[in-house]
Amino acid sequence: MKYDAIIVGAGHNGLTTAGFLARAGLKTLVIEKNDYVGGAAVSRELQPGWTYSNCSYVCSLLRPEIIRALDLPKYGLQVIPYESGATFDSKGNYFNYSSDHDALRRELIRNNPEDADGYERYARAVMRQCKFIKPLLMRTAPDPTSFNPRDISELLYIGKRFYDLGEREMAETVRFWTMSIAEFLDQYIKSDIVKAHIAGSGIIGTGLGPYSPGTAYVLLHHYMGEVDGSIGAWGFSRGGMGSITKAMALSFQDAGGEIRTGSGLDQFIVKNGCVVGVALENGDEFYADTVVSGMDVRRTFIEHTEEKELPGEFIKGVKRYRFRGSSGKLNIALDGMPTFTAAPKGAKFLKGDLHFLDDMAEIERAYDDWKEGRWSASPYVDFLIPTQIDPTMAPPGKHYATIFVQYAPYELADGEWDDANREAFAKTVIDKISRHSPDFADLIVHKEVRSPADIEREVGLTEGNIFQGELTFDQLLFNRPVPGYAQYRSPIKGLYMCGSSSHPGGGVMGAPGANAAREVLLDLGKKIDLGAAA
Amino acid sequence: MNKALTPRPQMPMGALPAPFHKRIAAENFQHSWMNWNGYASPGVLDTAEFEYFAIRNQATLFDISPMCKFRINGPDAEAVMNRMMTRDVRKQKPGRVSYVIWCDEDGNVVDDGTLFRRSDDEFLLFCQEPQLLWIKDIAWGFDVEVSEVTHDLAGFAFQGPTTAATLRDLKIKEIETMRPFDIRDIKIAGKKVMISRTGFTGDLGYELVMAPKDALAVWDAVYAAGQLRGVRIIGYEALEMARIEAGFLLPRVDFISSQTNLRVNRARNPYEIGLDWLVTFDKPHYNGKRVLQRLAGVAPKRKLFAIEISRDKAAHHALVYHRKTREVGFVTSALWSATTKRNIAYAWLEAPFGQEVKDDLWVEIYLQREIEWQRRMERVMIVERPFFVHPRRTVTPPLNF
Amino acid sequence: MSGDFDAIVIGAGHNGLVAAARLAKEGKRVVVLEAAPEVGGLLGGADPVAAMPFGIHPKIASGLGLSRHGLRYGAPMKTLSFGGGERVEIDGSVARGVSPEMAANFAELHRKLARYSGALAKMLAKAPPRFRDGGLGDMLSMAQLGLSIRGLGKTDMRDMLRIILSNVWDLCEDEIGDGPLAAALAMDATLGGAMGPRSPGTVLTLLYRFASTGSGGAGQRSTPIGGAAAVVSTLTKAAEASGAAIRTSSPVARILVDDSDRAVGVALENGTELRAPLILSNATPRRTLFDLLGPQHLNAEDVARLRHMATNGMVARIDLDLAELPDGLSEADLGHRIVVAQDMRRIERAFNAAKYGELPEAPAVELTGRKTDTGWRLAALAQFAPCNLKGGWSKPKKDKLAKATIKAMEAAIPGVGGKITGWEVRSPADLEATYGLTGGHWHHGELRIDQMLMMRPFAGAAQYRMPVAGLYLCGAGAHPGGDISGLPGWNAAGQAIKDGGAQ
Repeated sequence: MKYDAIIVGAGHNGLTTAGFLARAGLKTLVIEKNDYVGGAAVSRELQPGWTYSNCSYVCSLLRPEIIRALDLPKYGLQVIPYESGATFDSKGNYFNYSSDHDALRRELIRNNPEDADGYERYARAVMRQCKFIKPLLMRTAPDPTSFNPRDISELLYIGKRFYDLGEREMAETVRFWTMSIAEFLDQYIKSDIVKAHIAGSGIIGTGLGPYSPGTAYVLLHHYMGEVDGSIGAWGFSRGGMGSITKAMALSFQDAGGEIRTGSGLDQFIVKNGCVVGVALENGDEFYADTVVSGMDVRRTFIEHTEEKELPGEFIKGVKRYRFRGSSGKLNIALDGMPTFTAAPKGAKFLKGDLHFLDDMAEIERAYDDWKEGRWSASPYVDFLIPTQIDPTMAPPGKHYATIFVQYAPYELADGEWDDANREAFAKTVIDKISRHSPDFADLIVHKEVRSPADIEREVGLTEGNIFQGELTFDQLLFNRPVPGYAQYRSPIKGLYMCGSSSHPGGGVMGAPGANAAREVLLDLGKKIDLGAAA
Repeated sequence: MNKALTPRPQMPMGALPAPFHKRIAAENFQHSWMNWNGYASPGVLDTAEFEYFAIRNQATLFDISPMCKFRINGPDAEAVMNRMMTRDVRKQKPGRVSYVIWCDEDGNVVDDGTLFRRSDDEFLLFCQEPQLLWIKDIAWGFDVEVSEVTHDLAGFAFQGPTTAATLRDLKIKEIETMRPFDIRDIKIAGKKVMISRTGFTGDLGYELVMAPKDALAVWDAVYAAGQLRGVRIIGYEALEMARIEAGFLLPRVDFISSQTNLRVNRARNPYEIGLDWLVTFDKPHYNGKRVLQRLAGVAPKRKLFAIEISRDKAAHHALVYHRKTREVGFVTSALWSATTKRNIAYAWLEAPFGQEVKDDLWVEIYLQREIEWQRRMERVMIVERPFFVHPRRTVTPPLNF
Repeated sequence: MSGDFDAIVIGAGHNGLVAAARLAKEGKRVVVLEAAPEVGGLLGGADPVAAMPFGIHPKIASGLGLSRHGLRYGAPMKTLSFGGGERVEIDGSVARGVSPEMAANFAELHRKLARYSGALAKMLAKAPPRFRDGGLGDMLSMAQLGLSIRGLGKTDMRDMLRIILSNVWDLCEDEIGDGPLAAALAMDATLGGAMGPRSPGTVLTLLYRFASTGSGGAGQRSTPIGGAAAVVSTLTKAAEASGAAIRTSSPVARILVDDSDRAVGVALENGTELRAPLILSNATPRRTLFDLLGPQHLNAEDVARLRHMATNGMVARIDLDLAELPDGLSEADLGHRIVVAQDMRRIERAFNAAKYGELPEAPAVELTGRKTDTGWRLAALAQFAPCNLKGGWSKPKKDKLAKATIKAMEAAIPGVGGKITGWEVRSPADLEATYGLTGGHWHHGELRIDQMLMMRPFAGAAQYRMPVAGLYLCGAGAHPGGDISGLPGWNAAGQAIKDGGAQ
């Protein structure tokens, strides 16, 4: 069967590309190896009555341009912002990050009288960077080595934006993009617990510690999302993260697109340097002159493309591309709402993200463990109970906890990720939480434990890296995924990349998918208006 | 961690009651509250217009406790304040208040405020924006203590022509010799009060500061004494009207602090704001001095002007045009001035408008008339600040009115 | 402007001497004021802290005619890297003691780094351009850097832009794998700083080191015959030959600023005041601006920038006395740079502890040695030993570090431990106390992209000109930073001359 375009992988980026192509009038097919769509943005009933967002778990990065262009609310997408969060330290203190300006100032002052002002300076610095980077997300990164007019004009566009920041802010920008989150925060904030609370965003999903240069950018990557124009806000997708991809799939199908699940890819079919279709594991073949891969770059080109079709330098670049999964996940069905020793009754912040930390050094030590091939003895935990805001995800009175864990290595120095080690890993995490929530362990009805190796196996994210590759400078912008191939096109004519391995990278953002769609359509002589907000 | 402990309650959200809350709430018939620096501050108690006329005709009470307040004391207090402010603080004697601004390294205004010199080595600074970290940054390396006293000091503005008479009734002898910007330590109802002849209204008036525990006693005494003199509690709206007439500027309204602007080109220097009369170079280095010296010689790229507008509709949020076509600026504060019977406003104008080109300037005013909108172009005249100051403001001893 | 001198240089470290010599050569009446009884700073003394003074920059050597004053370089130095028993030898791009394939990969990597550092090299030898408001000259300078990177060709340019901000760990893993070869490069990339091999930014420090140590071509280095003392003596002669006066034991108490906001002289601790329209400070940025100038002359924002400048030094100098050399170490070896780290993993581990203000169990060591009357003295640089050690530095802590260092050396060079008869440890805190070196940091401040080029020591003060007119920074706290290149002093003097001429 012949299509205009085939998309491999029904993750949020694949579906985004597919949605745009279908709406541009292309006869489009999406193939997906799992029996369900969603990739890493899924809602799954792994315990009867409970819905797990068992991979990605919060939403903010999803570009509003995409939500609008694909009409996702019509297909059920609803993103509800959450208000606040807290970090508990080992001495019975907590820091409550409140979205209420006055409460937040009071809380900061309680920790250190200067921190309220310091926090506002910090927030302004981050907001300025968000404003600077936002328009770059929905654009294709220019190649600085190219003399192509489009690359030059895009470079000039970025150059002008940079120039317009003025000399002081230009310096601040270079500093922000290269500094460690620890030193960046040290400039503004004095209280350890406040810094620890914020620093987590600098290392989530990343094989770097908060003291590593480059982690301030990772924080920016987590903050550049928005919920209704409120930059840096996070939200829950009602019905779990699967609602996003479900809406995308419905939108795509409404536009005439076709989805085949349970259809794992065997190989891209390439003839004379051009892609002509895909061969599935089950022997089926589908044909199209445009094929877009939502898989990460290693999977796409090392596992599913014949080596002879690719230039050696490109293969070297792909092999060098770093994944280094560093995150684990626990998904837990709870019999009731756990209590926290240090939290007052009815604390609003329990509805937000909870962490259990004393200072940034604790995160750094957690990173040191990971470097040695161990999961962290005292991991950084991003703990949420979304059922407090979205009760549809569990039976009445019951709850679902999503626990993101940093750091867990893809390969253990001692042993494999077998059941025993998975259980030991889960125990480390649950023990840490239990020190703050004595009834937590007893409330557990069911738990799913996912190491980076499990995430790789089930979702197809190489080495379990949640961003389809590290967000270090050597893998950002025109370097992502491979210098010279950062514009969604591959060395094979007609074969494109739309996954998070491409600019601007991971998070449930959809920007790589939308940008890839634009490039595909450009090559087909069509234009799409992504309605990029200024 | 399992040891029994009483969890600390969450910090309260939003606006908290200020020290005079009970008294103000009792008279706040509109139940109109605003959040001013985390405190509930009245917007209007019954009628903004009558509250405004009380400022110009009687005596008024307005709670200024939410202002940001800082104490700077120690051997280097003068050096630190002099290093911060664009004025020469060395010339300010103990017992005097001065209106001050301070700038960042680029000469852009951080905030304005009133600086109370309590003694050789102690100052109080009252201002709109939180400044603790800024002052500490300025004071780094100096022998001085900087602390925020916002919540340790209550205060109210007592403004209007009959305020002096009221204080005379309270037997406050000190007012006879108090010139504008003087400070005295007095007692009212047996409580210690710091009184200064200062205010935000361009009229005769005082500001009284005391410990929060003494706040209600002092308020009650003044309020009771003022009954004969038409005393009235007022809200922000009335004060805002007097503020514009009196030529005072408000951060976040007329200009934005260079510590809070998100867009880098929004910060403004004293020459643009029209506060260059507060800038002196005849003193040692202070923050921003080197850039200010450069700026002093050149025409600003834009400037804040006091303008008068034809006819009687206040030009809220209006754009300013040259020859009715080219957009050259915008209005920040606007008011139909009931006292001067003039339609007044502050407006930012791009150079050369307002500076060399003063003619053929217009504001675009939108008027809603029973749902329907009308657009009017009204003529703009550049005038001087303030729009209104009564001579009674400065006469010493103050007169009974 | 009249005065006692045309220029005063504070501090007779190598950068101060270079600056003085250049100023004097341009006809300025120059005085150098040194607090210590002898000149040289970290290059001074019998066992100078900088035991391996690679490369005074050729531009300076010829500009000051240093060879006329006796500066001669020895044969190129090899690097001997010990990897648990066996050792590898690095001679420029040639690696010995490894497989031919590895040697070929190393050579390719080495040549690549040399090319990339060459593209940066021009930038090091002049004042860094400002980001934006520096005028035409700075624009050209920026364009020149762009062109020299473009000049590498598309493939190299792409590769350079990819790795420039990444870490030496990944670079070596990709190209040569971990081991003693990688350890030798990683030591170059990290020594003196507060970054481990895995820290992003360490490729840039490696390129810097390639660019600034090159008297014998990029990446290949040699030290002058006579070592540090020879550098000091030739620079001193060059300065004095041009008429510069050098006064030792003359500690400066403060920099004098007049009513017109200009630096006009200095006051010595003995009360003497000297005046000159140009003041160049070889002291660290914090010492210069906070202690000598005073924060009252600075804007609060600059004070904050300087307060937050990363300056935590992490190298301790340990002098080890040996009665005789162990079997694994020959007299000839001591003429070379010896790296005892085994592999990058161990260097990273040594860095782990330092992050928390603790001492590593197995420090990574770079050393050289010399013969003494009674035997041998090894000058070992042990990292990472943080200046801000928890609980502070003390004799027991120093002994602990020395013992850990000896143990780490023993693992790589069996038998060395037993030969050691005594040691002397100079912690970063000692360096701070002795030399006024903020944080005991060799480079007067961390060499990281956020503290490099137009941001060294901080944005707005990066062209050697300090916020007060007439005051210049001529030490390693200014661009291009540390090592014994002399470039900060040379560039600062150039800037001062340029400004001085305009007044």
